[in-house]
Amino acid sequence: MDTNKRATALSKALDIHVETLLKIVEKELGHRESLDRFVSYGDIHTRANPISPLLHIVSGNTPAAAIQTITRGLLVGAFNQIKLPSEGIQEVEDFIEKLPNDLKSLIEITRSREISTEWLKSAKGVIVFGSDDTVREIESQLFPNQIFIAHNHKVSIAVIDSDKNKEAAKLAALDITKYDQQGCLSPHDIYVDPKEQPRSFAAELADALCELNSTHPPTERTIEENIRIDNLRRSYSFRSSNDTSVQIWGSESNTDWTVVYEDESQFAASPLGRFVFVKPLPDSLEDALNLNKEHLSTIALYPFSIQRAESLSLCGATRICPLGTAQDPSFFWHHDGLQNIAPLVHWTDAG
Amino acid sequence: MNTYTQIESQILSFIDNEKSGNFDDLIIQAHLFQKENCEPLRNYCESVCKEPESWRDVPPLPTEAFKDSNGKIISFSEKQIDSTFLTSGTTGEMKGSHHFCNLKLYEKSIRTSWSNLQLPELPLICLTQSPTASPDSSLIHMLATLGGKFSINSSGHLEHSKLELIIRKSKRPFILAGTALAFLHLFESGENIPPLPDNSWVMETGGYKGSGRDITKENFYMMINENLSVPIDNIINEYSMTELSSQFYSIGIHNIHKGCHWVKTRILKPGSDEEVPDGEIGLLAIYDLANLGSSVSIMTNDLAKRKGNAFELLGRDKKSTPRGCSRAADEMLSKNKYGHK
Repeated sequence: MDTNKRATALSKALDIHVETLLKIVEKELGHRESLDRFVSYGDIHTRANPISPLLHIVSGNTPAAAIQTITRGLLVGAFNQIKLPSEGIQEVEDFIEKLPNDLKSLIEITRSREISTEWLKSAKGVIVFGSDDTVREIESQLFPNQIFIAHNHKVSIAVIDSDKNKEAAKLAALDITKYDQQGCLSPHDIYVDPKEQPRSFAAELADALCELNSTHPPTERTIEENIRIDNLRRSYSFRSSNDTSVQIWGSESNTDWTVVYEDESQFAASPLGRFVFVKPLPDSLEDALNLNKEHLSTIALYPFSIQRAESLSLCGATRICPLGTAQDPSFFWHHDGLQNIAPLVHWTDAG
Repeated sequence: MNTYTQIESQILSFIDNEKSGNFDDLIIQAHLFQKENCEPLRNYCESVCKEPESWRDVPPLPTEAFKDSNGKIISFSEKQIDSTFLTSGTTGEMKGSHHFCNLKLYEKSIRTSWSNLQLPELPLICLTQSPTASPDSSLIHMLATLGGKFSINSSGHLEHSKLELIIRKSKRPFILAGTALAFLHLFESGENIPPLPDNSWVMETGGYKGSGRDITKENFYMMINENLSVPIDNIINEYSMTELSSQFYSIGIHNIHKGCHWVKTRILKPGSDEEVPDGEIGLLAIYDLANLGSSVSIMTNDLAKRKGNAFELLGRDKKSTPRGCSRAADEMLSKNKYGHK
């Protein structure tokens, strides 16, 4: 299959326009046929060859990221070995089922707990999603000539500058509810400009989450996830009963959703599972993010504008997107600030 | 309303003799006294619950409350603070403080639990510092109350030769007690450890989660058995917290933790105050009458499986903030390279 045929098959499985995938190839590799033939490159010619096989070690809480990395591997024509979590990822398996046999033959899956040494040794490129510990553990087993792309834990925030249309709470609720806030792209904290009354916004967000929860309740969570939420809820309940700078809203008799308002603008990490902090937007967002700056992935912005994105880009985020789309990155996004296709090929020059 | 001393006297009698009172009445009396005299506790309880009719209605106080610098969790005046035990906390984390106006209930609870639960009445050798070197540690105070002798010197080093001498010279069995991490450090020190005398016991406490160790209880108990020649059925796990005044004990693997009649537990469904059905896992809430000076109801961060009115401790969620006496010991021992100056 040439690039065009692979892109066509992938676009059908993903339900996106084939041109999107071809444009990514063109933007990252310079020409949409770079993977099929020698193309002009300065005063020489060059062609891209997939780094193959690729080993993708994906995590269960980020199905969209798993599908994207497999798509990229298939798009460049590599053979893809995929280590799924032992419980599998239904979305990934549904996606693979939609592919034609020519692409399915470029995929091998395992759900075993341990990654086989053979796979690790034979992979020419390894892409891993996971905690810092997982990433370090995998990296320690690789040879220097293997390409290693790590996507470790990141956090995201939202920034609301104004809300004249009174729609920001509903958009934020979408970002928090989708995939049960799992992954790196859903906001932990929502910073609201003080003139927009952040505490009132928190109450509106609680209403929006409650409403959305009634039609889209969370899928089953582990006892550990529920306990993390419960612990933090109880701590904030104590604080809110003794400190007027804190207020908490939450679902009744379960851990479905939680909103905590705090005057304190320092970043607070959420246990996820639809648990979000609302804080006043400080003069210096960089200072409020403090140590988490290097772990910052996305800022979901309302209202969105490129001018405002310019100023927020100084905070260290690798993606600034409109509020309500945090969990749906474009296929063009630079995952964790990196190119996606370019690292998966090596080049042969002619001339 | 009765005074602190009057309620204390009733609880002391109840600890001595279960028939001298009623747990429900005493805990509600103590809770109402605490609400009256401790503003942060009152504010919290009023925000989550009306007047309790049974001990099960008393809202368990989250341990974070003991870290609040704005208001101490005490049911007496600040001037009366006589002793304070601190939670270990991690670097940069605020430590919790459990204050006491006297240690009558605390020490009574420790001694009576040991005898009521028929734990071995043997000499106690401790892999910890002494109370003088570590006055803020509730664990060390507990061991001292039980008559322990301490084998870690004031600079944090295990006096290995002293421990070896005690073991070699001891003709009678004894109990070797310490945090789980202290035992691990001992086993990993490479020093020769003679077997303990026949019929000796080990008491371990504190767990090692959050320290980067991932050892099952089965493997840990096997290590104790192999290194000290103590049968697994002679290994006691002690479970308590700085924020409590009473202890629970289990013996061997997979056994329930037992407490005494002045302590009760509930295993709660996360996100609610409903108890989980028998055999299911939830969050452990502890009701401890000996905690008269602070809060008689404490919400732990520990997972437990409900076993009737008792529980099997499953420990802390691995991803929650690491804390516990064990953790502090690990940091100290790692830093000092156990036994090497």
